[in-house]
Amino acid sequence: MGKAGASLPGRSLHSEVTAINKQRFLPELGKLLTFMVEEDRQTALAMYGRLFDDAVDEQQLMDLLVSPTRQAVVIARTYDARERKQQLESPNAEEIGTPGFVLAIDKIYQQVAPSHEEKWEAPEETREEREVNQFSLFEDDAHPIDDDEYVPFQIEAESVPIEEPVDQLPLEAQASVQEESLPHAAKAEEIGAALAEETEPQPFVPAEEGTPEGAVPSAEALAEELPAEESPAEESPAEAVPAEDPPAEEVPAEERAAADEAEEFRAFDLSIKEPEEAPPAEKQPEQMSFFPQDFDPKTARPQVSAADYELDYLPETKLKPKVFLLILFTILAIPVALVGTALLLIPTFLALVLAVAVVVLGSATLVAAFSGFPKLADLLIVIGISVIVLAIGLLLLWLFVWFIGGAIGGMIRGLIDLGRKWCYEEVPV
Amino acid sequence: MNKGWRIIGALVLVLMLLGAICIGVGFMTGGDIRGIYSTLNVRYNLTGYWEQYSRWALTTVKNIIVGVRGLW
Repeated sequence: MGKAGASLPGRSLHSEVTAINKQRFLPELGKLLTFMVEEDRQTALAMYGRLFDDAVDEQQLMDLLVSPTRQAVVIARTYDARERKQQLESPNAEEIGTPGFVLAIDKIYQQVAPSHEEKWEAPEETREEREVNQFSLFEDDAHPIDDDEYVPFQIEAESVPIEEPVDQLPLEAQASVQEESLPHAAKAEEIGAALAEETEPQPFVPAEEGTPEGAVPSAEALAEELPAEESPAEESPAEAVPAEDPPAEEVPAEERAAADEAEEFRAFDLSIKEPEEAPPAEKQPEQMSFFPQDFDPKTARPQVSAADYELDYLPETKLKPKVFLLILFTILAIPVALVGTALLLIPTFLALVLAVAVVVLGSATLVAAFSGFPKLADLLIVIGISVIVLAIGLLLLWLFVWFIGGAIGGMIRGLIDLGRKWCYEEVPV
Repeated sequence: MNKGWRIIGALVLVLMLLGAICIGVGFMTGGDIRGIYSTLNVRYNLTGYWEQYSRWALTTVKNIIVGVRGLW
């Protein structure tokens, strides 16, 4: 990690700025997206996180996003929580197209990370290349690796494209990198295969306080958590991976070292993933991927309506009253509301009077039950009757509350909503 | 409101079930309505209240009928 920052100061600064914005943006957005189904909310947050990771131009991204509130509004316009919940619960859930909010975020992604399609079409290959090259990426003459700083497996290197550092190096250094990477390639492939199950797909890891990069704790921080005897420094590539081809009898030892290394990383991975404690909403790792597994941008795009595409560029709107209609509606709505309230008050107070009478009767019966019945059987009958009467009284009391809060309040709220719908229109600011 | 309906409904059902069980057990163990009524009548004078209420209700109905006829 330290080497990555040292060799690529511009990239490191960019990453820090991105992480800061990401750390402030995502939690706030997460609070605003609580109206979504939890699965979709996690997907949206993961997609925004990926936006920050892959954005070429930080300023352009922030200009596009504007604010978490703005993005929450964009998503809210494409999202109907009730309908979405029904879709997810329906048996034909797999046949449902890509949700609108995914496409809305994807549109931003297309603008800030134009290379998105190529990356999406071959994600597995890209990931494999990255894991293989991570062992030799900075391990050249110009940038020797210290044992203290060496981290065998870059957990966080996902956001750093592998081609960039190599291309930016001088030609000799590039050649050196390629030469040195060859002996380690076989080793890297072995470890990569051993770790494939644990590392793919990368789970979403919540940010820790004090972690500079935000989403994933750095490998150095993880390495510090290890006991001294398990420190990655002891298993530096100089020891674990011989510079020359090993003799035939040393192959089992190397395999054992690779297995140990894989076990170590599995321990790392488990220590940060906490999958066992998570409730079995277990589709999380899949949800954390940028798109659903069956998502194909080329086929999905025609499902987007023009309104979906224009969402990002909709101007700010405000409600403008249609004055004449509003006056007319007010004149009509007030008498209707008054008459409706008066009519509803009759059963309301009737329910109240009955409830009071029945509760008093039930209480009196209950008191009377303990006033001198010689037989236990008679006492039981009177108690039973009083309990039933009290239950009816409770029901009548609730009916009174429902008339007040549900019926009368609902009627008034309905009238107000109707007025807002009929008498206001949305106009751009 | 829907949650309120559910809670109150469950509470009322439980109370009614409890009351029904009490009444059933009371009858099965030799309870007697007449005995209960006589005990309560001795203590609260139920017959007197009932006669008084009947008289008041009869008079009220008669007055209403006379008033309606007077209007006609």
